[in-house]
Amino acid sequence: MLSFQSLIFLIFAPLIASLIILCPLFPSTDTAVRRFSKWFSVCHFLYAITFLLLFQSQNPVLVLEDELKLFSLHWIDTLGISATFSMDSLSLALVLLTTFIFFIAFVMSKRTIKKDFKIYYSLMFLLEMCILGIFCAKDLFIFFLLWELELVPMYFLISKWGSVNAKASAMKFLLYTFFGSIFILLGIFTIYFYSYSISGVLTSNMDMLITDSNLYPPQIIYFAFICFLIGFGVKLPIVPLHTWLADAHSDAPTPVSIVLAAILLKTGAYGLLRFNLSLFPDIFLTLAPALMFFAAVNCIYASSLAVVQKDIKRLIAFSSISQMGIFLIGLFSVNYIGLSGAVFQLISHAIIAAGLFTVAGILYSIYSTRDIDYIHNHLKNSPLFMFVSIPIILAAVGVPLFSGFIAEFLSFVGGMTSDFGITLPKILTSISIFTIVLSSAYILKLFHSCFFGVRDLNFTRDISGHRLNVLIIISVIVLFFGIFPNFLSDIYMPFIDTTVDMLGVQ
Amino acid sequence: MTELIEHNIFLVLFLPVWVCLFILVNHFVKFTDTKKLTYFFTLFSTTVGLIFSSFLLYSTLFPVQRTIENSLLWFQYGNLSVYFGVFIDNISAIFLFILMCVSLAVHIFSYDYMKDDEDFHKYFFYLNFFNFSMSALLVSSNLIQTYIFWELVGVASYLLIGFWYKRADVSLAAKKVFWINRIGDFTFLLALITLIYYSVSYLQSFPQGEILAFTNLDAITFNLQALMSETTFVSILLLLALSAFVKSAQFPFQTWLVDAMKAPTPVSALIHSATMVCAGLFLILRLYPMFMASEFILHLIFIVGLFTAIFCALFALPQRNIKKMLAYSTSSQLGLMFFALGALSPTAAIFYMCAHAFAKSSLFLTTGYVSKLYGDELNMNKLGGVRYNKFLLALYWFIASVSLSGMAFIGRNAKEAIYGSFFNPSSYLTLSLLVLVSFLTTVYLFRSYLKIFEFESNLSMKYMSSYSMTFGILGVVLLSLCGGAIINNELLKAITPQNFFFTEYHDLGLALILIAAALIGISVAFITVKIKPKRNIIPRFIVKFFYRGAYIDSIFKFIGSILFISVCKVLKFIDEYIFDGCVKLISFISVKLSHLVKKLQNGNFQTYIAYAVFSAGLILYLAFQIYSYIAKEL
Repeated sequence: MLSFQSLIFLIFAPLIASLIILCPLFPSTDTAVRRFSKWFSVCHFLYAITFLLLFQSQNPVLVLEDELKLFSLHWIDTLGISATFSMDSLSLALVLLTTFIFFIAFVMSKRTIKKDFKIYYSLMFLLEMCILGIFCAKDLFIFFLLWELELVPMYFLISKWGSVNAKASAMKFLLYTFFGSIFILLGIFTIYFYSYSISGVLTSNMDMLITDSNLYPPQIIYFAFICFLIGFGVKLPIVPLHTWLADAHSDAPTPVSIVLAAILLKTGAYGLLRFNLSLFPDIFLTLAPALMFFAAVNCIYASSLAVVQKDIKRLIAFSSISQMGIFLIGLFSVNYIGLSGAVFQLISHAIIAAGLFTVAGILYSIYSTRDIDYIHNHLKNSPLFMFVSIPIILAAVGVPLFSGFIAEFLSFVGGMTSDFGITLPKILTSISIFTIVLSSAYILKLFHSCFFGVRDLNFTRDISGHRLNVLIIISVIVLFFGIFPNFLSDIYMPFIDTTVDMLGVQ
Repeated sequence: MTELIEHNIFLVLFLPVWVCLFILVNHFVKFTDTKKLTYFFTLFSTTVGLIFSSFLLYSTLFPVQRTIENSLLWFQYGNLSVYFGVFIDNISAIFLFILMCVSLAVHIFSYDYMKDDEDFHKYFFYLNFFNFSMSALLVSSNLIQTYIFWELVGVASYLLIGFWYKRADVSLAAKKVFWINRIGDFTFLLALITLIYYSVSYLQSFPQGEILAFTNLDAITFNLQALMSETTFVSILLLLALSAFVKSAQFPFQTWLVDAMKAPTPVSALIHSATMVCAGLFLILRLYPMFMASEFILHLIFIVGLFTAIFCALFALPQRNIKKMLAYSTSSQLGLMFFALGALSPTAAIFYMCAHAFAKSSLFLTTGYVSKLYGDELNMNKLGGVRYNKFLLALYWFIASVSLSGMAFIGRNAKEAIYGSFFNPSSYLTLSLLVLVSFLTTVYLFRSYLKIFEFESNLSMKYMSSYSMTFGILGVVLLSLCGGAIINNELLKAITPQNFFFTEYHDLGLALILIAAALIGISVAFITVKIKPKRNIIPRFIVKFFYRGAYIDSIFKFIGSILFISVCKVLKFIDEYIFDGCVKLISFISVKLSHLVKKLQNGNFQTYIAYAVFSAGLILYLAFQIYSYIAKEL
């Protein structure tokens, strides 16, 4: 580890940026704040890349651990709570993703955000800090603290800079996720106290907690598991708990929608991987075939809903839910291929969703509406915009050579090869594969309504500058990971290896 | 020379990709805007492809049948290792050769056809992308790679159908084509994933290394049969056959091919007549050892093929749009090839594929030229008299029609190869149906010939001549005229898969039957076009039924845009009023409750006192109850 590489600094650098922006001396013009944020996020991303280089140069598997101490004290020592952060390969992959997506979000903020620049950018940095903390937290209470804290900037970002209904949607988002958080807190308390009653050591460090299902009475451990499942299921979302998502996504401003779809949903997925899978492997294996049902419902139900949406952003939001269903298939298959596909899907979907919301944001800036029918009836000619959107559209459909396909393919193969001794998960996977037909239905509906059949042939409204660059960057990345999936999967593979070893499955 | 080719297969395979990259970079950087440069690179890559594929054809077939194999590991997760490779045997070599021949002709043709289009570079970008995906599909070394490029050729076809994206009708057609093809992709993926499941889970019983490699298909088939139940095996084959039917526009999926005609005409010539639609045929041929294991599936292919051949020929008869007529004709001819596959004569299917590719692409390219002359007019009723100005075009159409209807040239040999095995008294029913197909083919081809090229028309014709278009057509017309010299008996014998044998079939009786059917067909066409019988012999509703393609399209439309959408709307209703309704109900109840509680805080002192007294009494009562309960317990 090089001297300048500090995990704590990596996580809390956005907080520093946020404070710098809020400082009264800092200029309050749009350009100044945005340029600062953009370059800061670029530097932050590059800083995160140095961690990747560190991880790749080290062999055996590396786990960075670092603790935030004030005056060399633990945080709440008497209760065994300490601000410990650790980074393994999964965290690294998600941290890299977060820093990259925030860069895209900052670039896309240009001309989208029209008021209160200082507060907007500092809230975005605060949000970034919370999310990075979630991905790296080692301590249950720090995790929960950041999990809750993240809602505050998100609430204001949606309600203050969003569209007409934003206030109601933000409130719904806030209350709904709080509802989920209660269950997470319940789960955390359950294992925190029960582990104490077994070992006699008060600790909330994930490594030191005792979650061995043999030592617990079954109802307690199942209770904790289900609590976590519901809590993270709200964020992911798993289908009956999804109704906040479409409202929040559609009413948020474009950069915030990008962050919501690309990263915020992934915190739920991360929770499932880190808590439900890693802490309770036995129960996970027992319940996985039953939970596969929810995965199939996510896939089919959400994509059927996406087909009949009239609002571009709602359509993309439902497509996100359906894509998370594919993640769930990979996850509940609980085998090497499926888990690889699930994590691949997390990252690939994040980038594709960012691309889709970018396209939606540009469309909104051209037509000042998100209504698909209105756009189709007033279609302007934008050949270059259409051409650079094609890779993102194809990636969202899941065409091979784009990253979406690898993720889907691995998840479905994982679901099919899942070895539970019953055929039900296989049948559910087969049903879920039908989502590739549905995904082509809704994505092509979006694409064709917004680009095909031009009404006014003489009037051309095309894109240039930062928007063009963002679309090109995203297309190139999606294509690159689709052709060379190993570059992406090598980052998080040690996590899959250790998990699979721990589970003792194929 | 052979070694040079074998070592550089990947280089040639990726040549179109380099052209694509060049066009793409040029699009954004714009260091040169000459269309000629794009055209030159495209022609270069296709020509090199043609030279290589001809060498490959001969080096894989002569002196003995052999395969060229070369695979690289693409990615590996656990037991699942996916390879990207090249596996060229007799089947892929001949398909590759046909692809390259037609592709070169179409590329040459396209220059003048597209030169006034603002998206000239984009067109060649897509075309090169198609070339790459199609050749990679044909040389793929395992089923996973086949699936990947199977989807990519679909995407290329979709992009080219949607090429004139500004038109609303094109938008609808492209969307529909993609959706219907996606159903085929779905069945393919389902079958593929099930096959992968067996090969990954029972790894030890399969050949080591590449999963589902075509190299050891016999061993894989044997193992699969041993591992899975008969039903599973047959249903996997059924899924694969379904996706082949979709790709090759077999009944009832022929509707997408008609919609695909919204593409630029050279694209229809390349993708929707000669190459991509044969991918379904290729898939079945590729997995022939597997398909041979199930009688049922072979019978299904046989019946679907025959059915499509007859009905699509009937649908082609009343069409007015030349390209739609040609599209139905393509489906019908592909039906004959599937029929041959089902009848266990793969060589005849391949032979017919070659003959059809040459003839059909000549027809399409000629159509393209004619429509250019008349300002994109494709309605054959409005056209007429092209022969008097452009005699050569009429000649080209005539040659291609003669070949396709089985009167002479390569077409007759190919037809004889298919029909020959039924030329015996025991299968006279099948033979008569086949002869019917051939008769119908002649009728619609010569009917359109008479309408387009003979007689007079009101439309004024632009006088133009184009070298690139003429050369393009000439290439494929020459091939359909004397392609028999290239695809000769020796080659066909060498192509024949192992365990099969191909015998030259020359029977005067069969030839006479074919020619008689064709001549009757020509006379029928002449009568209907020239004499125009006053009274309709065939009732109007039947004509309309066939004109509309037996309303299959409407059925698809009903399923897609009414049935499916209503199910989705019901789900949306459930989502909004039940799932979200619960959430809203909870929030409603909590708001109402808080309003109720709010009333307690009315600022009235007497009320507060009353509450306090009431609460104190309640607490005292409860305390007393608890006390007495505890006292009783003690």
